[in-house]
Amino acid sequence: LGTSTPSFGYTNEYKIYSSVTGKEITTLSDTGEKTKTSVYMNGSVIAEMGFDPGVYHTVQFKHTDPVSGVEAETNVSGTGSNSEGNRTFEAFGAEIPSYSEASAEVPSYQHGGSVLNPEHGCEVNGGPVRCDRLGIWLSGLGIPVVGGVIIQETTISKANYLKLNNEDELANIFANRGGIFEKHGNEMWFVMSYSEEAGISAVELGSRAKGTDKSQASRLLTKAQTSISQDCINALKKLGVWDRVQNLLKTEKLYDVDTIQNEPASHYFANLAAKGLDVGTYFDSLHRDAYTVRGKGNKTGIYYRSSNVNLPSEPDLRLHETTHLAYPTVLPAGQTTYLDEILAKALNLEQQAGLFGRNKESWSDAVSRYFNNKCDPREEQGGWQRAIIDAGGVK
Amino acid sequence: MMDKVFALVLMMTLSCVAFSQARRVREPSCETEPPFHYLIVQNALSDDKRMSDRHREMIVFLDETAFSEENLRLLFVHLAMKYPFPKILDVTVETKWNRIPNPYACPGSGVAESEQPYSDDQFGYHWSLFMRRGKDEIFRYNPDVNNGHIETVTLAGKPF
Repeated sequence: LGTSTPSFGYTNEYKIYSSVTGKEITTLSDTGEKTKTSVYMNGSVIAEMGFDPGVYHTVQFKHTDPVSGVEAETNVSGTGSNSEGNRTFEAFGAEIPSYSEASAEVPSYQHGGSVLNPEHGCEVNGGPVRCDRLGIWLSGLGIPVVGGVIIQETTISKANYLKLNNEDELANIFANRGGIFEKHGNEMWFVMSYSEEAGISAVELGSRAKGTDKSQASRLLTKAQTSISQDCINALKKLGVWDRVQNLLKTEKLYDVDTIQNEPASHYFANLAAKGLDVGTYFDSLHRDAYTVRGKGNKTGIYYRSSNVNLPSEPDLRLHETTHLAYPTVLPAGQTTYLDEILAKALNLEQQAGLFGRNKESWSDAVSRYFNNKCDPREEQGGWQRAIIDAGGVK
Repeated sequence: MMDKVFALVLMMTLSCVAFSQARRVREPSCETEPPFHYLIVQNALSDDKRMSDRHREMIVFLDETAFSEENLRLLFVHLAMKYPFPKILDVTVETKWNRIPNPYACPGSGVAESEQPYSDDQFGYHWSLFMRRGKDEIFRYNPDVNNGHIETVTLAGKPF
């Protein structure tokens, strides 16, 4: 957190107080030279004599409104002694600049902030907040912040490949080792080893933001939470559902099966689940990470097990499922619609062929592949192909 | 006299302009009615409060023998003219009887699994999807039921 805070230099000074009034009379520098002397009347400073060693001495008269706290300064000739002429303070002591610009220089921590640019200028829900405070706040929400940047946890996948030259090699290695295969263009590869490691990516917090602007920090926070790629935004706009998806991301119902697993499945899935099943058993029978249900007596929403996948922090999977809630807008009456199929067709997603042209991926696989690759247009027709073969995939 | 002649010429000019503009408006007619068999089995508007947010979703059952790019063009141009509003229109064309919803009054349901299993039932029939987004109109279809290739045809505006 500290690295986002400007560094300051400190200089010692010495103050001489009146033994009668207790007020500060004279300030000395760290070398013992006089730098300022104050003149009091009725307990208030009415004039200050400044000493700039070796250059000149100045006298400034101070006029303070005891009610509003507005200060004005004049020099010995009676004119304003600085460019502003007076200083106004808001309720918490921060100085309000007298000019009407929407932004101001970054103020010093030592002298309080400007309401137009409080400290670094971060905001939360429109309210000014110091960026280091925002960092602490984000950390409290479980979002790591280091050095002024939001740290996103992510997963880095690593794989070692063996290229396969023909179907015999595939059959041989499949029979002896099994595992995961990938098809890249016309080439076939066997995944020798596969590992996932925790990694991080960073989103920089705004170091400055205009006081009248929308919250840059909030935007970045939203970006960190959703990580919706521009390709996905473009695709959903073309589909005509981007506005709906944005609203759904705020309002959709996420059901954690871990918390409702013992309840009757019919309460949530109407006639989709066999009678007598509980939610946990039905959900587990699907062998899926997430399950989206809409309409006809079902409790519309996205179902997942938090013990298996943390859906709120899985932006690709969540966007995939949320889009199912948005498209199509009207479900055909009296039947069950497979949302993956109709979405894949609308997004121009071909079902990629499996290895050696055997099998095709399901519509659901095609949509997952598309969203998992951030809606990369190359995941539409042609381009990168990927097929994962399970035990029933090659015979 | 000259004034009357001028007014007459002006009226004729304006009438011609108005007539030519009216001709540019696409309207369905007997001439645009597709010469093959099809059934509109769903024609529903979303219930958004604002008209500009509404979608129209249609499902059409098309005679399998009539499935061709040329006939799909005729069908979609005709339906787009017949239903100019709202600006978002989707028409799904099915050629397999068991994929057509029955005429129930009951609402339908929708499910999506993150990894829907492979099924042979997903192949072996023709389908098409027309999408209108404002001035842009395209349709997708599978020319060959034996592979998964999807063809996209732009009818108006920009492809998407």
